Amino acid sequence: MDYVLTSHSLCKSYKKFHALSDFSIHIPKGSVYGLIGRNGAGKTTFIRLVCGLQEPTGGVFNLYGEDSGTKGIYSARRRIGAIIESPAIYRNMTAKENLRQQYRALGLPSFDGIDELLELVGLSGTGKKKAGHFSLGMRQRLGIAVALCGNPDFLILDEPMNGLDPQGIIEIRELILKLNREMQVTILISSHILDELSRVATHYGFMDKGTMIKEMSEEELNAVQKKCVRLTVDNITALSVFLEKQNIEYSIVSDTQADVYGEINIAQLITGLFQSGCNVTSMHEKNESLESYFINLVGGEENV
Amino acid sequence: MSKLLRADFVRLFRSKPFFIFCAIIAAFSVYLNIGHSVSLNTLNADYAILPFELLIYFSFAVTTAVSFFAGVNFSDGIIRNKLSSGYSKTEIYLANLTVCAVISAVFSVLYMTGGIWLVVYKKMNAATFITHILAGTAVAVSFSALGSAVTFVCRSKAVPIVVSAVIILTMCLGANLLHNKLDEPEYNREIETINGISVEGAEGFVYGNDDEVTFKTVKNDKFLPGGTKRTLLESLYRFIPAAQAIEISEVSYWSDTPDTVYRMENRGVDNFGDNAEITSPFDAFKTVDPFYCLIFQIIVTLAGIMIFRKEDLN
Repeated sequence: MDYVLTSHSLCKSYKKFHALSDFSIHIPKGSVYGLIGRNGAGKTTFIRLVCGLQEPTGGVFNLYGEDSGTKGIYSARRRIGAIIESPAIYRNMTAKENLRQQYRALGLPSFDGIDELLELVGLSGTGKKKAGHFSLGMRQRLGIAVALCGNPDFLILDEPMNGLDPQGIIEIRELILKLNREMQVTILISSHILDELSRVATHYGFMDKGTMIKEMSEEELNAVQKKCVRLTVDNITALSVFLEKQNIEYSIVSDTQADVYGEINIAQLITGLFQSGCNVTSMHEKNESLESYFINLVGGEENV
Repeated sequence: MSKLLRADFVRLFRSKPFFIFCAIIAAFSVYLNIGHSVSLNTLNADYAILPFELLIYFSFAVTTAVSFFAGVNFSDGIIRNKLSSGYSKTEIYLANLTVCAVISAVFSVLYMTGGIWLVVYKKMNAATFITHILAGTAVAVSFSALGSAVTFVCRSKAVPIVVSAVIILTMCLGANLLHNKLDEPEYNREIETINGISVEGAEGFVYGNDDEVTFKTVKNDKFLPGGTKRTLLESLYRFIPAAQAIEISEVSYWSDTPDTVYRMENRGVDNFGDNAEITSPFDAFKTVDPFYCLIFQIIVTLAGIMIFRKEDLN
């Protein structure tokens, strides 16, 4: 498998605090890689290292075949676009002027494609309005447009959904999918909105306390996520007694609801419950959420 | 780096604050020279006054403009775009420094020539004038190097303005102390007798125009003779841009009097006999000043780059 970005034993310390320690990552070419971790896990630190804002205190990362610390890393960075935490835009310039400025900095020969970029992020109608007067969502979109200047092969988005309204989140999601599927842009996204991340990511990296706990593809995640049936019943005690007797894994969700795990015979379950004095009023199949999986992975909700 | 430089220059020349600064400086220069022109006509003086006397204050304008321009990299987060576009921190620093040097040079020339046509009809040595413009510009570029370094170390837009001002004021203080130390005369003149009566060691005496007063020349203990210590202090003095700005301000009044004599008289230094050694930091001003400016710019820039490269950016 071709990897756009890998790291090996990457470390970053701030005095005595280890933001990253022995961190490893493998981002396949053409993937949408969701980087998941709680606040302070080291997601943004890693992105800052890749973008050159900071230098590692140990280990190495490799971007497009170029190791960090070598001269080649600068040319490798020319293939990336990034938005880190807040959008980096000139507030006293219009959206178009901002893109032109980035085009100049990149040394692009013409301003072709600027109108299309503005159209793509939904800012084509902003005219002479200065970016300083944009809403947070508009600034976020402009930041993404700036990151897309020069058609990067690899896009790094740190919390791209921050400040966006529901409509904006949907638009950015569609943009990410479009860039990935139609333009084959590899995308690294860190986000706290795990539900949103699960809609776009093809690969996941779960990190905690500066280390990578687990990396997996979407298929692998689906395979390990527990399947369950959520039952709504009129007697939760009878349900519990019956499932204990049958040695079936379950968890109580509320006074009337419980999740039942594993491959179960629905007909036998409903009949058995009926005979035990418990009526099933509704049931539906569901997957364990990405959030639940992450919480289980990092060792319980109290750690998140 | 040329692409980055081009982008930064385009940003500069499309920046309204830059042109507003230019207009204010040019207007201020014209205002100063109108005042000078009126004075010259009133006095019917046979000399011209060059508008350099406020150069030290001008340094604040330079560092403020530089902080505004370079600080945008940090206040708007543009530095992140530049770094992730594959530019090194050194390239970003040098591109900014180049633009800031041009800003200071433009300001300097505007300040020094803005209203010069008002006094140009007076006797004016063109070579002296051009030398001073170049020296003033070199000092202004030194201040832009200082402003850039402070901005890249502080990594903000507003804080460097204050920090630069404090540094300049500190430099002025240091320059003044050095100036006084270096300017101590070798001999002082003391009153020996009044009407034949010795007043040696006496205090608080007065004498009139009709009194016969004799003077004696006494060695000044505070005088710093030529040697390693004096050379070091002179070099340090010339190294400080604030000192150079003060020097340029003080030689702003040009006349027919030969420069060296004029400067000595202007500073209250008399030639006491054949053995007197007149050592003044002014003597070497014209020839070595740009060299010291360059040294200052290089040292400050290297220090700025070294610190900036080690800094973790957010």
